[in-house]
Amino acid sequence: MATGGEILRMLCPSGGWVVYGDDFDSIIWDDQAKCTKAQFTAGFAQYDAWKAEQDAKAQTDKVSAQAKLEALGLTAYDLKALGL
Amino acid sequence: MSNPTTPFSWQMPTATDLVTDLPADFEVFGQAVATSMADLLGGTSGQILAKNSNTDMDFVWVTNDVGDITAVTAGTGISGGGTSGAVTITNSMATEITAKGDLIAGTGSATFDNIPVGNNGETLVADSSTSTGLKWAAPATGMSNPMTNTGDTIYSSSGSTPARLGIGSTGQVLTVASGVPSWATPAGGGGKVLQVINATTSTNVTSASSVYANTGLTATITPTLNTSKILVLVNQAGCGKQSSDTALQLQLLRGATVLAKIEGIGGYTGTAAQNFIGSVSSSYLDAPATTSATTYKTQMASFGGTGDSCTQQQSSVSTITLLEIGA
Repeated sequence: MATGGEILRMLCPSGGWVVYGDDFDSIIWDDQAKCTKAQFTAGFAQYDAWKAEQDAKAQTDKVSAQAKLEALGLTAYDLKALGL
Repeated sequence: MSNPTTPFSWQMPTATDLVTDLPADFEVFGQAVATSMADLLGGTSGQILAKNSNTDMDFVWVTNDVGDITAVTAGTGISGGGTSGAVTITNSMATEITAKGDLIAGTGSATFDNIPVGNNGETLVADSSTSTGLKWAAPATGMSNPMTNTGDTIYSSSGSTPARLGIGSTGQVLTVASGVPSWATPAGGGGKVLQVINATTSTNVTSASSVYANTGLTATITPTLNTSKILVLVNQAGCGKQSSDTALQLQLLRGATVLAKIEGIGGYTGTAAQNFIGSVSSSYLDAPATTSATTYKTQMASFGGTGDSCTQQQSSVSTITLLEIGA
């Protein structure tokens, strides 16, 4: 079960909010609301799929990056040695 | 003489009768007299004749009344008396009263005397030195009330002289100085703990804002003395960052005043990786210098306001404890 914080991270990735538990009415917005209560409520059912998609994309990006490094004759250790 | 006679109506022989029968006439006369006097017959020694009804010559012999007063003898407090004729008795106590307001009081067994009325406003009080054991005297004056303000108390000074003790200040206690009561600020207790307040919260808070917001961890204390210190112990549990290159920031406040930043870069990794660091603890010795209710709390922010940081993650229990320490 996703938390209120995770839902907002999905819906409002640019930040500017504070949430207490899973209570939409508790949200403190920095300036103006960035999502509606309906979107927030629906987000709990959407979060798992979104998270899986994010994880898959991150994995894909990682594999792609490793392939590019290998093509350049580099490894992740080389990047760390460069302080990246 | 009338015939029949007055007032008994006895029938008498009449001299003018042409034919007389004197013996028979006397028989009638005698019977009438005997009938009239019939009630006078009888009776016993000592009895007296009394009317039996309102009818003429209707009498009856009755026993003479027993208990007739034959003598009156004056007792204590009474004078006069006698054994015949009109008897006069006098209340001796009454004769002692000679003026308005006089009272009669005993002077001993079966003796009494007059107490003349006292002066206006005087009251009757016991006094064994007088013959009656009583006297009129001015009433003792009551205690003069020395109190003037709300909260005043009265104590005895200089023997039985009432004195006013004005109310002390909030937090002061009643003590004794130079043999009389007084209000004084109590000694703080030399670092002793005067009271302890504790509060907890386990509601997860996630912040993706650089603006500080309450973590929900708060407690209020009303110091006993304005000289007390408040030792604030905070254990903010379930801390960390959940995304982006950010960090958790925590600060401690008294009311709206920031007392200390107790964490400035909690969980920082320099990457977007999650990093849960567990509890952030802090202690802070405050001197609020007040005896009013004072609220302490923590606030959190996400460094840079990009990714989100959290407290009470997974319903971890955060605690805040306030200890009032006597100065």
